[in-house]
Amino acid sequence: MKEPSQKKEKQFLQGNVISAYAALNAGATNFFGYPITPSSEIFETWVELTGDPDKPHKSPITNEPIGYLQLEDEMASGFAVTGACLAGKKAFTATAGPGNILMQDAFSAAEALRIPTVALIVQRGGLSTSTVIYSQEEVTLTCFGGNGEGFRIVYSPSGLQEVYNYTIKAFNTAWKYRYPTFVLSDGYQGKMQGEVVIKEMNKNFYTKPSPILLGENRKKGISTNMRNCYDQEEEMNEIINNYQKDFERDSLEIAESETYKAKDADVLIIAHGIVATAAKDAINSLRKEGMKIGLWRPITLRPLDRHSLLKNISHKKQIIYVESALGQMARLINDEIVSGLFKRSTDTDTARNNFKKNTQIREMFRPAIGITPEEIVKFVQNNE
Amino acid sequence: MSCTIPTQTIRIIIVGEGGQGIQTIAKLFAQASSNFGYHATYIPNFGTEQRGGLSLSFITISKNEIVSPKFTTSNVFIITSSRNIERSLRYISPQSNVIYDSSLVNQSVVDKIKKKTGCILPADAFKIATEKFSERSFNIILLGLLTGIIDKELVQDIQKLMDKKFGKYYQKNESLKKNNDSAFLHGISLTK
Repeated sequence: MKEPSQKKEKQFLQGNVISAYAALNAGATNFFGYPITPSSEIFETWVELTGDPDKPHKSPITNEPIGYLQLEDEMASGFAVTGACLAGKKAFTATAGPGNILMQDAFSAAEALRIPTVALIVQRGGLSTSTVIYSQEEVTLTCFGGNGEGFRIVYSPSGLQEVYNYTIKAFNTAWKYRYPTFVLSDGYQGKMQGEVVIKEMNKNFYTKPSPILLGENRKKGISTNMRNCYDQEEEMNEIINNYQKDFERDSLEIAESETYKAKDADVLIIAHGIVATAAKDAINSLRKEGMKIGLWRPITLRPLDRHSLLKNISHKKQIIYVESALGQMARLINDEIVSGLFKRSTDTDTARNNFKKNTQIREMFRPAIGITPEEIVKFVQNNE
Repeated sequence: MSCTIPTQTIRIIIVGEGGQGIQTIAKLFAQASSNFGYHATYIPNFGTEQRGGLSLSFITISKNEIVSPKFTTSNVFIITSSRNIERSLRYISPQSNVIYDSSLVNQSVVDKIKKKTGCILPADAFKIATEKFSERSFNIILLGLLTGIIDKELVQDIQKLMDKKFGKYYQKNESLKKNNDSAFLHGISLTK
């Protein structure tokens, strides 16, 4: 090897450690949780960051003491987070797999009451307890886990730097728009170690939390009733319709995506999270062989960046879904394509017709197992 | 070793069992490579067992930015267990340099590896550790071996990290440091 590169501003850290640092630098003050592999180091690192429980360290953003509480299970942890957020604290949790399932009760309540919780989900294998390592099988659960309509924000970071950046962003987005917000990482990105630049947050993006239930009104004896139970169908219907309008409006500002060499591509890979890093390497190899191939990556799985998606799938000869699940991401994309191209707009007739006639859809689904660049190259070439 | 090791990006897999210290040396090596100035990533892969389950680590070190940390084909493959070998064999190609611990990997596994690559080298790390140092130094000998193969200039960075990592144990028992340092250097000497 020799002749090493110079990159001294970077630190070599584990993904879960990076997540905890990001939460601290985002102004989070309270963690509630129950450890579970592969997310446990987020909790462990947060405990270290709080220091002496009798004289805890202070948030670099708010100067408040920071704290944590381990509860008896994930259900209690989820509701502790929602409770702390109601009291005006930037509280968060981290979990995975079965823990993510148990927390859905609290997340569903947060969705119903527009409580800005943040949960860092480090996907492990499914079904049920499964492996402690890796999968992308918590996409549906995280986007639509409640008994509601999925009024949630779900970021899917791709690489350790994005784990840091989007964890910070999640806290600001959650409190700005008041939706439960998730950073949906995975066991590889949680457990892996690599290079990252830990920057302080630009404080212009900081959204100050304020008490939703407590605070000044409480002191004045004014009660706040956050209704979570309705007796008339029409009332619930109206609430949901209003939420939907809010979500549609806010989605235009929240939705994010990335394109990589997609502009002139005949073949478009759609992948998210760490699989998108493998797709980029695969695209670089295939381009060297002359193939016009690119990537569209949803950064927010919920809401999807509809405008960018529809723009990038038009005039493609082939679209290849690549994910470590049996089509959980693909279903989200297909729904968006169907609703975007075929239903909502008459202006997209040409795109719809071209899409139906000319675009071949292929699926590289590898549930619960990592996907490498070499495997993607082989899959793409086998269709040639 | 007869297969060429790439000069830009090297992909390394270490396969062992839970409790052998595989993940410890993989982390140390990747961290030292990053401290030295290479780009580096490390991903562990293991089951739920604290002891005995299959334990794999994926390390990439490169002169270039690393986009994808997971890979299929290794340039260097170190194996210290015969357990679940079919799962590990998929990462060996004709270009892989395989080092196996001759005390811990049985002949039938070696025969299977030989069908996949001609670049195969036995190492007696466990035997040497038991006879010259201590059984627990076995992974440190492998760390030395890996360092000798990849880049001897990483030695100082690795020794610094070992002191940091094992410092609290060294304070309790000074001979441990001497033991580990000697085992590490012995591992390097095996590559001469």
